Amino acid sequence: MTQGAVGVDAVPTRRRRRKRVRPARLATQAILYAFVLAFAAIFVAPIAWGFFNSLRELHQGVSGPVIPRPAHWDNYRYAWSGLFSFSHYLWNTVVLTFIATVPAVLTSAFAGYAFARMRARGRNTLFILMLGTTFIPFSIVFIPLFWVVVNLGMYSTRWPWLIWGVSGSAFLIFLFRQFYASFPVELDDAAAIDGCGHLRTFLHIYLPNSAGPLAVAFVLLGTGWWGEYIYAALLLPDRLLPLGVKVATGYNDPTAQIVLIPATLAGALLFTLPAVLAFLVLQKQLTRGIVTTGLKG
Amino acid sequence: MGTAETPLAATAARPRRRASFRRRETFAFYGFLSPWLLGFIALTSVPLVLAFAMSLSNLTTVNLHTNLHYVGGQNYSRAYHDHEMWYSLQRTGILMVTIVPLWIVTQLGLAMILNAGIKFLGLWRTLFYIAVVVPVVAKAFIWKAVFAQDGGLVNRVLGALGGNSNADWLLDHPTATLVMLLVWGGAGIGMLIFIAGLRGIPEELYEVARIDGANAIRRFVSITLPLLTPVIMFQLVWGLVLAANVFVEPVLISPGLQQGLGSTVPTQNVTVNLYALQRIFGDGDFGYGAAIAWIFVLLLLIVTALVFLSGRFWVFYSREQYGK
Amino acid sequence: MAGIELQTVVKTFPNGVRAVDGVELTIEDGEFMVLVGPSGCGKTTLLRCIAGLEEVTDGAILIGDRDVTDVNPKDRDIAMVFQNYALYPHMTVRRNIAFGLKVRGTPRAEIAARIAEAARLLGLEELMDRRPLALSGGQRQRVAMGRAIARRPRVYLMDEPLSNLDAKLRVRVRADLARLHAQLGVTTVYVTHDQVEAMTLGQRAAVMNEGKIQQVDTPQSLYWSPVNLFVAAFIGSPSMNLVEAHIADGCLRFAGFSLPLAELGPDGAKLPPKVILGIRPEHFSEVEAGQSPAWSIEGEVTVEENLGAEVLVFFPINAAPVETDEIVSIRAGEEEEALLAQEARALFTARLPSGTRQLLGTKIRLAVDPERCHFFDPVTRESLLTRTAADEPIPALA
Repeated sequence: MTQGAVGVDAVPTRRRRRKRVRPARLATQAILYAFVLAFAAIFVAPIAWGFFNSLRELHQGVSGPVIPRPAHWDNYRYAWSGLFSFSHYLWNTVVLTFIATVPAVLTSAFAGYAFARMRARGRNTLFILMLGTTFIPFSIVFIPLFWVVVNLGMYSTRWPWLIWGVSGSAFLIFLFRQFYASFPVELDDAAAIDGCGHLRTFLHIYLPNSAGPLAVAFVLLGTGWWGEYIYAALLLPDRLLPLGVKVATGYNDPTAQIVLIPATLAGALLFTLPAVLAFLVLQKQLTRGIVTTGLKG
Repeated sequence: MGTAETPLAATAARPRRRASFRRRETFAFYGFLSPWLLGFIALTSVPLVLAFAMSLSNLTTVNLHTNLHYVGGQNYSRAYHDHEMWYSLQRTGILMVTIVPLWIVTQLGLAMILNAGIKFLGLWRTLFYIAVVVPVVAKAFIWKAVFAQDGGLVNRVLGALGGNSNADWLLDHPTATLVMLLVWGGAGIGMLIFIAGLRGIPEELYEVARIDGANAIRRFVSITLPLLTPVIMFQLVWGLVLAANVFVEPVLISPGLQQGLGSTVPTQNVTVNLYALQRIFGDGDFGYGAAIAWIFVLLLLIVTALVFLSGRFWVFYSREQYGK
Repeated sequence: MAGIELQTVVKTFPNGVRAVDGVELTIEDGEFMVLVGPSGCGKTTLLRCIAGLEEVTDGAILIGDRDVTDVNPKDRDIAMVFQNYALYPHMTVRRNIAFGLKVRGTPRAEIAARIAEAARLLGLEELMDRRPLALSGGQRQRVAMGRAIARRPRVYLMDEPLSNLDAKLRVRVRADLARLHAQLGVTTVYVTHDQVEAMTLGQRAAVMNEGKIQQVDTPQSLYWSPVNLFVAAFIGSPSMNLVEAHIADGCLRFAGFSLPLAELGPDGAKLPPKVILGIRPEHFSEVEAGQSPAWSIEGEVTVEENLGAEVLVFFPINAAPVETDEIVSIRAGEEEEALLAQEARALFTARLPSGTRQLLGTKIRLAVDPERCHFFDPVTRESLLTRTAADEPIPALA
């Protein structure tokens, strides 16, 4: 005799309902969130502290009540126009960031594709060399570079930034190369059958599907150049300075020869805002981009 | 496959039959690479050679002067006897050895926390990462405010907890302050990379381990760490190079006004890069600065090569060693 | 070794999906129970509940009379084989097998003994020092099994372990699994979407759909006596032919055919005016010249598949295809979907012995035994007349 079927209509013997939370699980969750909150506080506290101190009276240091009373919101207006034209240097920053970032991302994408998808003599050697450039310390490159820049008459100009832009970035090339290497090879085959050479394949297939790495590239490189200090400090005259330098040196009380800390902080935060906003806007792409390129070395 | 009409498709494993195709592809390859390649030559190779040339000369101004001549290894032996230079190398080494482990531990820790399935993941990730996008200048001044002797955040907290609330961090503990700044500011990117690495480990491995009876620590040690070793190696090498190249932050957090490249930078924070630059922009000594830079390059290369080679012993390479 | 009892097990995911909907099941000690059903029916979730990898929302799970509902996976004394084997890629085969034992503090000598035994049983001796990446699919699968065997658990849980193997290998490993079970006799719960595996491996099989068990029975009973439309359509390949029919003038009518109800005997009177008629493709036989069978239909063969030992013929009939939810969910679970749009007419399949002439394009007459036909209520989808299993073996499976 066959066993009966057990279906929906069988009358179930209800077992007691019990709470589904195991006490051990609750404890680990609590510890986890405690860590999360603690770390979040540690990471954000300095910025918050900087913000609070930007509201102090101009000639103060950082002493006084934690939240300054009265809060000098006009420090921000002062930072904007009190000692120099913030907008002028903001414009400088935008220009420099743009000419250094945009060409670099494109160059790196092209190079990344070439390393990932083309076969040519010396490809692997070049790739290793390219990776090797990240190991080269700053000073050994900059010292002769400075000398050359001056002697070529590019001192006090924006030209070096353009050159840096066009020559790309090894890290970005690595990023794009890893990403493009993970594309299915069949895509290339289909494109080839449809009549595309490398250029077309890259422009019509690879590039349009590069949202992730492109976002990563723009945000990483862009925010890096946005806050750039050393090249500008050593190569540019005051009228071309980006905020990265100006904020550090510009908020000095002319009479007393001291740094106006609250104003500097205010200026610094104003300066930081666009970078943070850009990051927030693109962050979903950013994290997805890093995850998909599989940076596992 | 591979007839006369095969168009120029780039695939990893299919050999080209015709020489003309190979030539064309090589041409296209270098074409795609040209901007970077030119930059590589102009911004990397040429300077390296120039720097070497400089280091063998007595170049002391920006312009070529009539007294310029070859001095052989004079700059190098001067560096060899220069106490300050060795000190700066030592400080750089200390930075590398301190920051990199802190970076890796912090980044891995943050990554694991974020990977543990908490709510509002995006929010926490943003907060942890945000320090990375803050410009150096802002970071430095914020840090000066945090570590200020009189009323700085750290001293206030320490005072509230009953400890010494009067330490002059920037003057008396410049390296510690610097290290904390770099760890705070650099944790974000590494954290994302570790998250990617963690995601690459199949969940099933943990499930089997759970069924087998491994607790959380055991799972971390036996599964997570071994499978993360490639990422750790990557972070290790990259971190060492980054830490070795630090020199902007010491300038910006030095106490007092900056004048030029940090005449006020405490010597404990003068890294090799900084020292070389000081010789050039302070003394105008291009030749000597270049020599210092070259010494540094070679030392750094040796260190990173050693670290990389050590990977044979502790890194699990998935494909290279045991692939089919 | 132990039996398993599932009492009203419910698993609801945070997004509201009820993956397991009140499952009651008793698995005997030492039994090989297969959980089978289309994708998304809840079988894997149920398995993971038994393993403890998913927390049960309601109900209880007992392993060997011990309530393990709140117990951690590691304390349930089970071992699991995953579809993707889940071998530790950085450990050798030897270490992979030993890992679970080491974690439990098994003495060294014991570990070595168990590894040797598992290796012997599964033919792994040569592979002990290799890493998973250097092994073929079949070898990895054996290592995964070895890992489970060495643990000597009370229950084996297997989640589609054969799906990643190619077809020929799958058949061989299936046989090996059956042998292994006969030898070791450990209670096994085996999940698959492949009804052929269910029929060949299981002592009993639980057919699931939408989180509920439709029927738990021996493969014979599932085949001969399905309790509802779903089970009938799911078991058997090619699938049972289904068509809606109505009763008028003492005849079963559909697609222009008229089958006299008298042939069913007293059962015929129990049928409601509208039914769903089911005929398995293997229960058709071609009508020879001079025969006049009680029930026969005819149609024009539009597709003919010659499989060597037999022939499958497809012929449309003038009725709409039966498109109930169950049918749709079964089809959705299948890998192959129709290349062309569905026809408006139902397509019947018949399985005939080969050696007959070319049938494509011809009109054939097929006879069917009324005793072999199934009838289902169009509303409740339940089986209307009890069918008993014949003593004949189930016709050759695909």
